[in-house]
Amino acid sequence: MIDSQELEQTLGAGFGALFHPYFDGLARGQLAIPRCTACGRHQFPPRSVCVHCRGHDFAWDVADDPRGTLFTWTVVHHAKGTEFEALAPYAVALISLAQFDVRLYGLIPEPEGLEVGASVRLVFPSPDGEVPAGSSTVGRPHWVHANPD
Amino acid sequence: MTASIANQTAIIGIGATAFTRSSGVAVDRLAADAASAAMDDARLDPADIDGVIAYASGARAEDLIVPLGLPNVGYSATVQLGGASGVSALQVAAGAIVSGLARHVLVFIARNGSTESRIGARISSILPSPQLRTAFEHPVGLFSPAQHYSMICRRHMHEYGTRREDLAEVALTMRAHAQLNPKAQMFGRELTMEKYLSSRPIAEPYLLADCCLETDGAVAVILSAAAEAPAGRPRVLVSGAAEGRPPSGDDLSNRDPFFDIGLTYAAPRAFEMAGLRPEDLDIAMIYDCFTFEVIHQLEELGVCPRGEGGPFVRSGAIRLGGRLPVNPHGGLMSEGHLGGMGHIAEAVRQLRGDAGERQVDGTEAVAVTGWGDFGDGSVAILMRG
Repeated sequence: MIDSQELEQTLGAGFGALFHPYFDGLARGQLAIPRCTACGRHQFPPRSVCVHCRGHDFAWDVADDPRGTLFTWTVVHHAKGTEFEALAPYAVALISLAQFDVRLYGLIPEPEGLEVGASVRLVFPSPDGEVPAGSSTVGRPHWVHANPD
Repeated sequence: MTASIANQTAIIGIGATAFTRSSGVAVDRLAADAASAAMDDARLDPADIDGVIAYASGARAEDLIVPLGLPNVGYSATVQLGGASGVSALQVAAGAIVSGLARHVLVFIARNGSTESRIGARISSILPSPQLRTAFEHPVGLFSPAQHYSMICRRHMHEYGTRREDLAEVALTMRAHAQLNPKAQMFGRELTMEKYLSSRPIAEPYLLADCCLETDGAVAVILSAAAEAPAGRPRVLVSGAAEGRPPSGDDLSNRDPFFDIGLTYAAPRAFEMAGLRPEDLDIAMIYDCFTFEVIHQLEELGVCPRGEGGPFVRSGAIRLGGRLPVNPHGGLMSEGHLGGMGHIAEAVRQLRGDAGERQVDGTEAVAVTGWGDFGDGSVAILMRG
């Protein structure tokens, strides 16, 4: 699991506060994306100043059902010296969100059978440690193939 | 008419240490050796050097000024553009000379990139917006340039049909060129398609053979006013130079247009300054951190349209004897990786006609590119004149 408190400490007060709603959302099993209150556009990653209009007030919108499509990805084989070493090979993808007009980096633990445009959905590790159906055992938010249901 | 640096300065000296996997000496010694060689080549003494530009990583200006005893340095700078810093420094140096702030500017890189400051350590100190890496990349397992850039490569393959064999052609060309460069780290070690395809995957589509080397060593170049170039050998003029940044230069994820890089913006400015077109080039020195980045930069430099870099390299165009030879010295992939400063030195050798077996006869115009961070870019157009 991502320790959001530790992460925010590492980032320092300024960026810690800026990114807090995102990590707070993940900890509660939600994906939250900032929207500039001046121009109304979503942006990612979160920034202090809106890249579209230079506004600096943001509201956070929660994705109802975080899904997206694969824009591109890499299959990481060499992760020596990182906490992901044992997980390799795994994929890191750029995912175009279905609900908001932004792309996110996402972890895909099972890198087989990926293709550009494929549908994926975000799964969260459950607070009690149970593995959600259809997800891998990775203890942090990650993306899996979305089966049409 | 506005002032321009076009053709006002020349690279009058180049110097380099050996390119090795293990230098066995400290970076100040590497810096001093390369700088001394560059001063000898330029026929200058330490007292003549009054400007120093150190690279964004590795030895700093003081690491050179103190050991060499440069008494007259009154101008110093460092460019923060990752691997594009060396070529950008030519623009900074030319500006200082034309404006009268300095007369002889030494630009250098010195690092033990193989034994001390490997890429993982370097990027943690020089990448822009480190908070984005910490917050949104490391937690999903994204850490290295090979991983970031291989995602651009895969998207290019999807949109334009760029192939594995195109990546291989870049790697095989760099290695073949290095067989004509006795100073190259990969001299005497040929690469075949079989060896390329069987090299271990790092961040697919990148295999180990798609990645550049790590190198201990140093390279230095000296810029002066064009009129001060030593007589008796061809002058190497800085005819155009520019740097640029794509949208969201500190982040790849939401870049739009996705294939824009710094060179997209810098190349037209540099060519206009030099009064040249891409088709006028005799050689292209492309910052070959990975195979696809050569294809990508050839497109954005304007050598071929976006999306046609794959077929361009597939045609054999970038080999010695081809339509536009790329990196006759073997590049970062096979000569060695000192932040692209080796590309500048090779451009000078080629324009002087001093490149030995790998000389491209009649070379008059060479473009040198730099690539840094998440696609920031720089380019210099160097001409014999």
